[in-house]
Amino acid sequence: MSFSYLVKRIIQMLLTILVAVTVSFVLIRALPGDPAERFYGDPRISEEVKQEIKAAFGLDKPVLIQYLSFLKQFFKGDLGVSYTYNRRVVGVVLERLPWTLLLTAVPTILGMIASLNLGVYIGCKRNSFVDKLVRYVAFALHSVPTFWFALLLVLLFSFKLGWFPLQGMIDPSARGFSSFISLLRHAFLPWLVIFVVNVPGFAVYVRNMVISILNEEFIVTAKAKGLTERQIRKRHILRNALGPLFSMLTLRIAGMLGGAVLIETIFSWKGMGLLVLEASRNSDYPLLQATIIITIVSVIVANFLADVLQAAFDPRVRFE
Amino acid sequence: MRRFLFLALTVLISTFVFSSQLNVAVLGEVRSLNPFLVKSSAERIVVGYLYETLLTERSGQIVGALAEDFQVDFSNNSLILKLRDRKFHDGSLVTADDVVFSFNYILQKRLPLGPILAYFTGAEKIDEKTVKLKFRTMNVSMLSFAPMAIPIIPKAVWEKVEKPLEFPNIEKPIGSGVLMFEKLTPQSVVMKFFKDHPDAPQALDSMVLHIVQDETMGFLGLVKGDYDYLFWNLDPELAKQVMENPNKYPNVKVALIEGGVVNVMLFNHRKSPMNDVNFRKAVLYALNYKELVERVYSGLADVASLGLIPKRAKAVYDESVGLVQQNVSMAKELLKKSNYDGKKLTLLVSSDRKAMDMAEYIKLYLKNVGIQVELDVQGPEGLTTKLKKADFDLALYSYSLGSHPEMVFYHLHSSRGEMKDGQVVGFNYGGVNIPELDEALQAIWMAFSEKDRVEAFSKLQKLLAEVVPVVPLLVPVDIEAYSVKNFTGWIVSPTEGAMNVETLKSLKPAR
Repeated sequence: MSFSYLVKRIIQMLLTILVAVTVSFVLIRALPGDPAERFYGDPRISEEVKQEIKAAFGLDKPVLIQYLSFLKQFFKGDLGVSYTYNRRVVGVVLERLPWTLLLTAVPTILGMIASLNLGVYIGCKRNSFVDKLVRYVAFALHSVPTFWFALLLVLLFSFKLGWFPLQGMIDPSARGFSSFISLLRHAFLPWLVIFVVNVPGFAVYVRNMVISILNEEFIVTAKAKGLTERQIRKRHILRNALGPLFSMLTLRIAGMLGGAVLIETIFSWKGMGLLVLEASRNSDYPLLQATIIITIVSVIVANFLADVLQAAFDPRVRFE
Repeated sequence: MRRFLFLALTVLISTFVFSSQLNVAVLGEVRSLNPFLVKSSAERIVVGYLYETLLTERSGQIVGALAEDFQVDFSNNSLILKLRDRKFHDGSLVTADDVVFSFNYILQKRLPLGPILAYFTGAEKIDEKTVKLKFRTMNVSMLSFAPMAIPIIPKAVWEKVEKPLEFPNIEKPIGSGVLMFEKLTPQSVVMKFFKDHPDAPQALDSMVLHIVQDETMGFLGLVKGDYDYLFWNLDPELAKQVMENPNKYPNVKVALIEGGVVNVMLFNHRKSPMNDVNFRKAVLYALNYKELVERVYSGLADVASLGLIPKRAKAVYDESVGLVQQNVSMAKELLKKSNYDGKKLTLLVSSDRKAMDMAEYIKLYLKNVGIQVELDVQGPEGLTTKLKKADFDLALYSYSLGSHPEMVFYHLHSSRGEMKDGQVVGFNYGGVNIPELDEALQAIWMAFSEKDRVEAFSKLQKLLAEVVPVVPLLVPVDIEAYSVKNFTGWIVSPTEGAMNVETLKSLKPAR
């Protein structure tokens, strides 16, 4: 991988970000609804006051002027002031981001580790009982809506058995260490949902990759050399499976930032997902824009990193 | 042994403490506790408990809150209010200075709190217990957007706040309401009862408002006993299930409260045949209201009054006007007399499930008398856009008239239906323009005393039944749900529901 290629990719990435940011700006403004409406939804409000409100949020200016001032602020790292929070949106997003990362990162990382091992195992034991079981479960879970599965778990573990709280993040009366325990108790069910929903599908993906690797000539050579199955799995299969896995993992990390809207809604988990929902419900342009831009930028950056990492790990990949 | 006794005592105390804490669930977000920045229903509930206004409304009647009473000075376009002896949560007295400051602060900082900025000119202190609020003009709506809407804030706290629209007020909000602030977490607002408030209950210590995002999960929390009350309307089908299966939901109770929102069918009076009273009456008589109540609302709605004002506004509701009723032969006769030429009319309706169900039935009823209708289904934004552009023949809409019946002025007065730059200037989307109705609406605006109000509203309701500017359809019942698992002593008021002052005073831990 040459230096010029890297520079070219970085420029490409920045241009993509600019286009994406522009598109998000245009699309959001094309949505029906007046964001200032909620301030003058009162039938008695006068036209004069309506104009004052619009001016206060810069909504009285032409869209082009709004766009230019938005770009200027964007490059300064300022994504504007939220209409609903009356605060800088960056601050609002940064408050929610850790909660979403906590909600999604733990089961995603554990799920990746579990599914990688499971996938390699069932790939090597093709058509075994475990292989079939994992595939059936993956198929079943793929067909089941996540919110329905989450509700089932809630009904069983929270409602019937009472082992976990129904929803929320921390008990309001908890203090000190008990807050941490309360957080773990509240997080367990959403973690379980994300983990269970993701693992079988991802394991099947790894399995299919392993099966195609098993047909490669270097595996036959490794067997001929007398390597044990464990050694082949570790040195040849796992290593070759890592490249595509990186792309998938980086994309998943980007997805984590977007938040799990449904899971966050069901469990009243105040993360990015609920923030996106809230911003769109309230026509809060700056907030909606910020959450979308952060997700877009993270996808673009993650893609870029995936390409670079894949090149570094897999000598067959050449970027010239 | 000592350790065991200590443990037992702790458990006993914690049980007692838990019992005196009311847990309620609210839907939405609590981003700030600034009374000038209220944007969600959850914030409205919390701020409503924290702060008080000078006057308030009960069953359509204007009653005192922080003020004992009010007087109208028509010659000077002003209201004079006498204050009660009340305290803020920090122990300081609520004075005339605080009241004057609260009102003038809105003017000074240009706070967009309803239409007050357009009509209010300033507040003055007359003496330590009396204030004067001055307006550009004087009518009943001045009460609803000034002394009934503006929260009284402590001057000592807010005079230091330079930019109120950027002040979240979540550190230590101080008001004079029945609940005082304790703690705000991402998922709850913990509040303590303010024992110096006359409505503060003795048996209850605190109230925790749990912020939930999903109604189903909130209901499960109520069934489980995590919550004692839900601050939103239960779905009628779910309410029916609860009422019909008391064994399945032994702790959950449903309270049915007279609704304040009237579902109506708007006519676009700017077009023919909607500007013809015979056609409007034909539509009125064509519909089967009882069936709509049964089929669309599972029976949990009331047929609307011909006079439009809902029963909930008890003080001004005129029972003698009667309810809307189907009369197909009359509808057909009136249709013949009207200038309807058989063309297909559009019925604008929101994509909400209940509204669409209702529209489908209405389409059938109208077809039955010979009126052809096609549905124009729009999302909430699309619906508002079309209403504002008056781009409809008929439309399903709703008026919230339970608390402020005088709001009917804004929906039906001709001045609110004028078009400017292709948009309706006010909320009279149908462009109703009937001189005698304008007169009756003006009259309710100038009626301040109880007697005048009753008289003016009675006249208005009779006139509405005669000229049928809109078809009053039905009034959905407000459905509240509460649990008797942790507390007993709920008192359900037909107009205020289960969460009211009397309930708070009579609630007792169930154990």
